[in-house]
Amino acid sequence: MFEITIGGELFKLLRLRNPWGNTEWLGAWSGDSPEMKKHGAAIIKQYVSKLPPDEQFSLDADDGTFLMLYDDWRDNFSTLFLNLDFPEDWTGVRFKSEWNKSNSAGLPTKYTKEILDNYGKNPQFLIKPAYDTEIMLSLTQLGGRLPVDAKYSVYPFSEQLHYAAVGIFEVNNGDTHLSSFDKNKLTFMSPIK
Amino acid sequence: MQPEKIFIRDEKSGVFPHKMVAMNYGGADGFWQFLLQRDNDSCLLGCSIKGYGKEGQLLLEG
Repeated sequence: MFEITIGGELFKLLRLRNPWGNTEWLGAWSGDSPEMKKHGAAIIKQYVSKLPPDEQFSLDADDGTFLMLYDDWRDNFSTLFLNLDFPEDWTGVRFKSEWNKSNSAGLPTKYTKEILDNYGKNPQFLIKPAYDTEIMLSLTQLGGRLPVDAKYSVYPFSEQLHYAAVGIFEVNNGDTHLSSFDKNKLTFMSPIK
Repeated sequence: MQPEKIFIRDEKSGVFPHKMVAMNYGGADGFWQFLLQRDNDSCLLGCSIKGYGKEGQLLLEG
């Protein structure tokens, strides 16, 4: 992302890469656009030449990247993905588990003892903060783009991705797990995704 | 770690969510500044297209 000024006018530009390589932006500021032919030198002078040597790039290189005006990017793209940037003093713990045939209990659909007890079979992780603190929880599963038995799935990868939710319960002091669904102990339930 | 996901275009109306962006980022210019900051932190992961763009259907998110 960078800004250049030409004739007193500010241009906000983004450099993007299409990892799939099958389509590219052909509008304003694209490789063969009038804007690029007219102002390419300004981009080199005001932006590219100021990058570290190993980050400099050629505007006409066939490297899968292209430039877009911020306004065009807003008009055409629908979702932005950002890495979560935690403060330096945060620590992280990763638990690995799985839902399988014996513990895929799901969410309770009725308030019967059997169904509520069944909920307790879901994978659980006990967290006991030593003091009041902020906690960020994230539940992930392997991406559907990965091949299974050398076979690729197509978006939205329904054959590989499963619906899931995270529930946070406050258990009694000394308890190591939740034996059944208890709405009185529920402090947070994420959307099902 | 699952990335943060921000919708930058309403799929139904096909327009930039000005109200949300104004509320959370101080408008389109504020959103640009937010993106510059995220870029400086190496936090820009990617963006995707789903549904219809300004010029018609482009490609599915993927």
